[in-house]
Amino acid sequence: MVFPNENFVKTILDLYSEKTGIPIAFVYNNKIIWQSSKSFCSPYCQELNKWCPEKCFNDHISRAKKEKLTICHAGLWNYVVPVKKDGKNVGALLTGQRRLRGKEQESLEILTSFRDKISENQYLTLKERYQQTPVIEGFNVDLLKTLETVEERLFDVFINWDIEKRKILNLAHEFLLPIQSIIANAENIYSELSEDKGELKAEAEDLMQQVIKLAMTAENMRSSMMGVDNEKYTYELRDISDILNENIKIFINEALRKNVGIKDPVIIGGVSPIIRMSHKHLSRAFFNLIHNAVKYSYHSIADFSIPTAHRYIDIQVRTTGKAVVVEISNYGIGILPDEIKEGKIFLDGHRGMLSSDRERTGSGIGLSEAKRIIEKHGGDININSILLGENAYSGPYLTTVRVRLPK
Amino acid sequence: MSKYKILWIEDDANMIMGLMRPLLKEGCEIDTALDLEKAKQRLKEKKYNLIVLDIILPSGKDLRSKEDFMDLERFYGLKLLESMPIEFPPILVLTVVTDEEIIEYIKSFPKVKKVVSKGMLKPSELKEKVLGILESK
Repeated sequence: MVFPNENFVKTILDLYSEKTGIPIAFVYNNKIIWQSSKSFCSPYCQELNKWCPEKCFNDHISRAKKEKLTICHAGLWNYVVPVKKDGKNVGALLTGQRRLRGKEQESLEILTSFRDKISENQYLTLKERYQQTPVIEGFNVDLLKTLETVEERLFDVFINWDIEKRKILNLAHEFLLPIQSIIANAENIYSELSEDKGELKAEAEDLMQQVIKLAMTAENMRSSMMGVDNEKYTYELRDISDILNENIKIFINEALRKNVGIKDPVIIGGVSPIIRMSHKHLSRAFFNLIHNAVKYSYHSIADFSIPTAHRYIDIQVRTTGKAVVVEISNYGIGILPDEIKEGKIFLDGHRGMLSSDRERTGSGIGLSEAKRIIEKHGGDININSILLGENAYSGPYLTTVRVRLPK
Repeated sequence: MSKYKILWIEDDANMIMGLMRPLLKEGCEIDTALDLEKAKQRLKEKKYNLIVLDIILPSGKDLRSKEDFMDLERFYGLKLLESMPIEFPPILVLTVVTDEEIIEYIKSFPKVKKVVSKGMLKPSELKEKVLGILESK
């Protein structure tokens, strides 16, 4: 589980380490969730982590269940403070990785015990790193008071996160229930209308597509608030074309109303690739990208000066080595080079300057959500927006979004 | 035409009844229970082939004091899962909850055959998933 205030928590832990000179980690649910920067870690621990990281990790986790002063498997001293919520231990703060004045003998005995288990060179390196590890007088009152403050701040984070989650869940319920009702009714009307009711069927289908767009926007908002690491991704092998075609179907009418066509995806190589994906998440990522392509295409009914060749959205899929690349291109409103270069275009809530005219609605979270989802799949996303006209503010642009996903 | 008996435990069933329409047309008998107490009662009275379960449910208890309200929890659907004996039918969980920890916990129950997100689900998709579980038994 990752909390949305991860940076805030990391900052608190780093501040503690900066003040005391000692590293600290937060253990929760048998995982080390956060720890202060590596620069505070003892040289001895850094060396040990190279050849027995699992042993160090397991040792951390088991000691996090004890309280106060403990010695680690390698002979360094730590102090453990439980973090409680509603009277229950939810985690522990583990601080130390230091030699302790008056207890050096115990630590040395443990170091010496490694001699039989590793090569002489390794042992000498380890011994050197051990000697480089600072000695502290003890876990004194000041240190413990600072630790208590950290524990209190973490407790606040837990409480606030509980409140946030509840708010998000309530919001999701309020939005998604009526949406679910409309989708269900629209599909039922569509499937039960006879073929001679063509116009009504088309209306029912359009209604369904519109409310799916609404649902996707609600999901974007919820996911943006929850954070991608808090959502359950369920992976399966599926054809990437299915996702592209599903989303094209949602936007085809909207695109046609703008006199813009969405071409069928071109599969280079002929065979549509199967990839490992969390279908509902990746579908939402491509929903956002295709939505943008449609939204920022020219509204060409009023403007016949736009060549026919520029009234299409192109989608290409190809396989390169171990990756599948999907490129979605559209002509119309572009993105300024600085916004791409500085990564602003992928920031939550950011809308490109050229898109912020009255005709185009947008929340500014579609691209950032798509990026989060794609990266969660082990992929990456890049954008290229080439100016075709003479004026950078009036365009036109050819914008291509390139998504790369592992096979 | 199938004649499966399904218990749908959902407090908003009246609002999203459309989801079950294809299954009803398929010939399934669908009983609803709007809260935990009614669900327990239904399960005592009748044998079902499948349970479709919402996680966020009211308790259905008679609330008469401040303490009763203070004791209320959110996920009574989870409470039902936790108390279900082994002979109960398989379960499809239908929920708006997407929290990883909760979903992982739900999936840890062997009786839970599928967890499906509510919100953008089409009735045809629900029918496919339900019949997929029933016909694989």
